[in-house]
Amino acid sequence: MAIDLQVLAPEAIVLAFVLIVLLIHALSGKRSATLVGGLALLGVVLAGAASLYYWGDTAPTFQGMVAADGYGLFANLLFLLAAGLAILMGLEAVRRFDLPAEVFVLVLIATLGMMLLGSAVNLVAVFLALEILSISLYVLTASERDEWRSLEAGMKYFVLGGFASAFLLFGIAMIYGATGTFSLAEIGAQGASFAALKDAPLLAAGLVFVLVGFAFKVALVPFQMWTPDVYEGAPSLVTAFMSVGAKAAGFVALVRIMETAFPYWRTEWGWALAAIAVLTMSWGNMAALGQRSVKRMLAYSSIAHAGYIAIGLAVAGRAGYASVFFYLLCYTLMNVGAFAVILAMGRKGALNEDIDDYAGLIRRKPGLALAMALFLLALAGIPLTAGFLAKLYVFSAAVVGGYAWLAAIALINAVISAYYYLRVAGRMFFGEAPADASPVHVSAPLGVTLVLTALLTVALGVYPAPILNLIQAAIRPIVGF
Amino acid sequence: MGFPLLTLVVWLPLLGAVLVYGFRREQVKAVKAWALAFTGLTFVGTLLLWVFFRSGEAGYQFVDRAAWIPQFGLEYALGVDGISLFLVILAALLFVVAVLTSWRLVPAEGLRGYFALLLFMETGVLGVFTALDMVLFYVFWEVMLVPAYFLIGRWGGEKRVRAATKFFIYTMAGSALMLVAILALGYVGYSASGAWTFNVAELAGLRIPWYTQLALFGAFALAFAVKAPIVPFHTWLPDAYVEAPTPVTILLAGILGKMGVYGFIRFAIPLFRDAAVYFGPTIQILAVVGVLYGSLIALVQTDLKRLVAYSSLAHVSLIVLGLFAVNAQSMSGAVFQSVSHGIYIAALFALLGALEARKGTRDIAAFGGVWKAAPVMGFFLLIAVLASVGLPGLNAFAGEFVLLLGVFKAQKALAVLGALGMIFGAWYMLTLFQRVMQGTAKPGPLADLTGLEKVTVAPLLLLALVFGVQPNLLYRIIVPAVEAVVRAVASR
Repeated sequence: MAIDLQVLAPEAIVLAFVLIVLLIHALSGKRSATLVGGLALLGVVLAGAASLYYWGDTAPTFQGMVAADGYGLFANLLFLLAAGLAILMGLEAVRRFDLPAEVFVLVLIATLGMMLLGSAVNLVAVFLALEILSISLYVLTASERDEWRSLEAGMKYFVLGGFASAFLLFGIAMIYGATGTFSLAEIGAQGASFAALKDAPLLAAGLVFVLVGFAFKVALVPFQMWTPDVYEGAPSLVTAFMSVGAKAAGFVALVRIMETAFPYWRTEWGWALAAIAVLTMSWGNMAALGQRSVKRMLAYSSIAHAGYIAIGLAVAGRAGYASVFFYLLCYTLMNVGAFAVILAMGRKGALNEDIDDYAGLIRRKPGLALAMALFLLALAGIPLTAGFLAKLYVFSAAVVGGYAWLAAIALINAVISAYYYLRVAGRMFFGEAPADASPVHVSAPLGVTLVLTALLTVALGVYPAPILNLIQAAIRPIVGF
Repeated sequence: MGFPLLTLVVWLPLLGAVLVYGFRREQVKAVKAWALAFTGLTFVGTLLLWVFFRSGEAGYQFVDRAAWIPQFGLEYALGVDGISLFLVILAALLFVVAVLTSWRLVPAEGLRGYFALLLFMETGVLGVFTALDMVLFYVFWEVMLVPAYFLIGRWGGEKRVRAATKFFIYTMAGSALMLVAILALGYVGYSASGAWTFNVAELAGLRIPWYTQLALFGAFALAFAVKAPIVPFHTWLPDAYVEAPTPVTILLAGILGKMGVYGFIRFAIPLFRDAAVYFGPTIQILAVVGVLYGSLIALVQTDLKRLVAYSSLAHVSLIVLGLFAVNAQSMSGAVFQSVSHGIYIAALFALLGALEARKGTRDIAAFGGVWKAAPVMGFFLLIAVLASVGLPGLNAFAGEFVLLLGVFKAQKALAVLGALGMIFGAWYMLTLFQRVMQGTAKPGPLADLTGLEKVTVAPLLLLALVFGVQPNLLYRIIVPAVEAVVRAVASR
């Protein structure tokens, strides 16, 4: 079997830039953050271009470890978007919060992990990719080295993430024990002969363990406990990156694994995921209601969003998976936007994450307040924003898939979420600015991030038709034509 | 798609919103002038709809259609018929009134944002009354909440933030299930024809299984019952009406409540005919409760705005009572009364706002003998009050009489109870008038209406008179469209 490097060109580009950036950083000394960040951004853009260039190539490569199909390539674009936005924000964050420039390297490595995870068609490759991703995220979380809560968050994430990896590995081992293969396609082919879960207890147990491992990574209830602390403790740029990027990678991989290796048990895991979705969105929203810290509120809300996305996965099929992809894209834009605002509000020693710090923002910094209002409304799912169509897509998939009750529960949840999003928006517009409010500064990289995410949030909310076509084409390798 | 007049009318205010927000902070005069220009132009546009409307036809006119999100079968589709035409015109008129009543009320600080939000809201409201694609309808329905929330929360009274949040969450909660129902309805259509569509005209012909109808009607009715509102979903109303700044109260009472009424007659009743007939009596009983409850509570109010807010609850409940009698007469009366209630309630709230601005209080006891000091205001308020109590020759009579006649044909007891509301109405409104305008004057000067206020309110009162004397101006366009609905329900 030939090793066709071309197929992995986007990943190869990212890897090359990891090395280049490391080298430049080492050579150029301490004050190179902008140069290093710029180079990292260039790498992301080039990898994106390569992904588009090789669109549609479906050859599996590296002994059937990864497949560079349309599905993987679209996932690449999603991850690279998240990475690009994170690096853009990082250009500011590194200076403002005195983070090490290695942050850019770690973001690139994590992105590489995501991309491999998106194209992995073998459980060993899945595990390796997930570890590449996770380990860089542990370090990223703790990257604000002189900040106590950042270090604690990194530690917590590392320990619990390690557990999750162990569960996943155990699950993979059981699946191997049952089928004698790591290849998703072969597991799918063998499993087709089992009619019920009880016919293949080892395989079923393996599936459960794999699900648990991923549920940890994408923060589904009851494996979400780490999320609020880690999301709050990590530097905002890292939180933004992992709340969208790592979550997307987890779901993208999960879709491929479930659909390729376990299609014959679709009803069973469909119901399990539906139940998990209900718990996840309800728990996330309830917990977010009481938060005073805007960042922590967004952390809990991100659990709720994972719940909405899980609905698409539970529904499965063409509409279900496409809705997962679309939701991930929209969520990336609006959540990164919201975190960019949080980043803009804070500076070293004064993070300004309390809801009262946002009071009267419309009079202090109207542009920033308007952008935040847009992101919050989008997260709440108000029409003419990407958030609404993302929910509409998931809910319509649910209705068509016979899960109308799930859509109804999700919508009631969306109403609850509107309450806490509105609370922040209301405080920005109706509140009186605190007398000792520090001036808010929005620099060029943050400004670009905000404008870009805001424009795309509206554009996707008003006219998503071209992107929807792209997504429907991308999931074809998974569900057929 | 010929000249897209309707599209123009709907989106013109949004264009205005962007423009107005683009001004510099100090350009107060320009902001006001442009806001007025855009609402005025939109109003003229809606009048053109009336001019070119082919009366006597039941179907949609000025239809603009384009593909929007073909993957979901979503369409950008607008149109008006005899049911929506006057609601569209009323909405556009009331936004002009709202801009004029805002003229001196809103401080220069934040003025751009205020008028931008108002114009944004106008696009939302006009969209609700013209959307023919149900998802598009939902989009307008929800998005309209955003400017309303910020308008109430920023420029309202003392407990404004609470009232704004309550309004937003109640309405959103009410309509949440409607979205699922819309999707489910689309799916029923898809199962029947193999193609996705959310076009209301195409879905109206569907045969929907009984239990599905019950569920879907329930979800729709909940959304519209909150908005109208119908007892017991009305608790947000007094808070929002009272706390909102006067121009927004005018819009809430004059047109936003009508979105609920409109939703029933456009969607809930024709789409789920069996369920509408099945649930009809229940909703009618709730409506009668609303009439009596609203009237009785209005009787004991000491706050000007709160009194009229509860009167509005009673009046809208009467409209709902007429709707669910489902005959051509009662429903035509209901549509007519929706428009006419919008006219006199706007005049009432504008005048109460003027009173409040002068005295700095809404307490009825603080007023008295106002007529002597402000005869024009007294005269205007008298006409508005008489319109509200349904004096023959004014518009409410022309609506309520036909409506009650229609209800009486089928359900005599309900009609009698509903008519009781009119008697109570005469009682509390005339008491209000007497206590404010007559008797001994309370200390403190009280200026009469300014030229601007006269110009704002006079046209509304004139309209109340014109439509009262000549109701056929409206009925000849409303009746054919309503008859089509009634026929469809009868043919189920």
